[in-house]
Amino acid sequence: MENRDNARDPWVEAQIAALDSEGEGQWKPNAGAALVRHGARVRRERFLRRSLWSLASAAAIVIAVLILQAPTACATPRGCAVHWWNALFTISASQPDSEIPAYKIIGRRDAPVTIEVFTDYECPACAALYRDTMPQLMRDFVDTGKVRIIHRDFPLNIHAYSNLAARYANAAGEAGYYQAAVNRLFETQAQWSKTGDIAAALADVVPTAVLQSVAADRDRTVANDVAQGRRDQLSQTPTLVIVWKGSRQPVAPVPDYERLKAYLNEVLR
Amino acid sequence: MNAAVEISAGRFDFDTFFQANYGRIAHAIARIVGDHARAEDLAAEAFWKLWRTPKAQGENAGGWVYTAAIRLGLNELRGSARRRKYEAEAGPAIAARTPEQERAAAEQREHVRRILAKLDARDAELLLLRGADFSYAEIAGALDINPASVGTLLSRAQQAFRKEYVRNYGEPG
Repeated sequence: MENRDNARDPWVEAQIAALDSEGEGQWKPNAGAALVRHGARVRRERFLRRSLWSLASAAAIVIAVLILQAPTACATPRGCAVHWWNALFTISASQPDSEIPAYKIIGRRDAPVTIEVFTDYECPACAALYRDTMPQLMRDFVDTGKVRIIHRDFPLNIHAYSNLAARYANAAGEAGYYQAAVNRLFETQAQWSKTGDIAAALADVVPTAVLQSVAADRDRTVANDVAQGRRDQLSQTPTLVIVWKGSRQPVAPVPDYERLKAYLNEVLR
Repeated sequence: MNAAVEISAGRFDFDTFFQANYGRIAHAIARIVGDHARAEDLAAEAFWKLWRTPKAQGENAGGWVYTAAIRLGLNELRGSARRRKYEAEAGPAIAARTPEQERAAAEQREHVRRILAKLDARDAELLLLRGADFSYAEIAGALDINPASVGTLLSRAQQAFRKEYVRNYGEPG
């Protein structure tokens, strides 16, 4: 194999060899200095690697903690937590009434206080709010013109059917059956949240034609409500956002009715 | 090829290897790029690559770092900015030659470098490794090619060099 003559072109080899004649005798590369520079580069590289590992480890721990803290179920009496990433990078702002469907607003337009009620139809605490607190709130504050209510959808991604339920309720609202649909959804939450058969739950309070229109419906109302909730930095459902003299104050978890009543009376005084 | 590879009891002594081979590697690159300061930079880079490639730190480290150095030199040579610089600069003077002889030699070296830059990378590497007195087995190991093919590939590389030279500068005198 070592028969070099087979491949030999003396002229080409001479040309390559001629490169050697360029001042070689006068130049001595400084290996010592180069090794010192190499050592410094190695130390920088090792420091950078250690720093990156430390940062990566810290980031991994933070992410793990946040993931472990994220809710996987929603059975607490005080409400359902919003995933941590939904609460990031939010800015509070109010939405004009003109952008809110009329069927979601209950009470006098000129009421001094507005309460925006952010709920998730699969959230047990939201169902309890509608069952226990809302009737009293309506009686003492809405019917008397002191407060108006805006229902807001805030379906959490830990729930499989809450977004669809909100679209059913809003379709019913467009047809004039909003309050009946909302009440029925919360009353029958335990049933349809297992099967996803929301239409069956609403069958006797909302006309069939309305229920059949939901599948093709592209409801922006839910998205608008969710966007507003994120701007308000919601951390859980249910949350009441008290709107008074231009300020927005999220209240969560929702206190018992007597405390809420005292708070509202204080604001209205 | 007399690569000074320092391996004791299976453990690679990088610093000793560096000290023993740095000058040889820098000279090899200087032949290609014709710039001593730049050759030292690229030699340091070749050793850096070796340091970051633990699997290359063994018996064949000499060939590995030499091949890496040649590739760095050829890449440098292909840079248009560097070529322009070479066009503007004359090589260092050698006392034994007349100014006219030195000018002609410098011009010829520049022609060789331009041809090397235009050749297929593997052809240029083959010619430079052969020029550094690597054996066929060492060339095969350094370029990861079949040892039985080295002669044929080297012959083709020489033909390619000659053809490209003639195309650019005419038949050599």
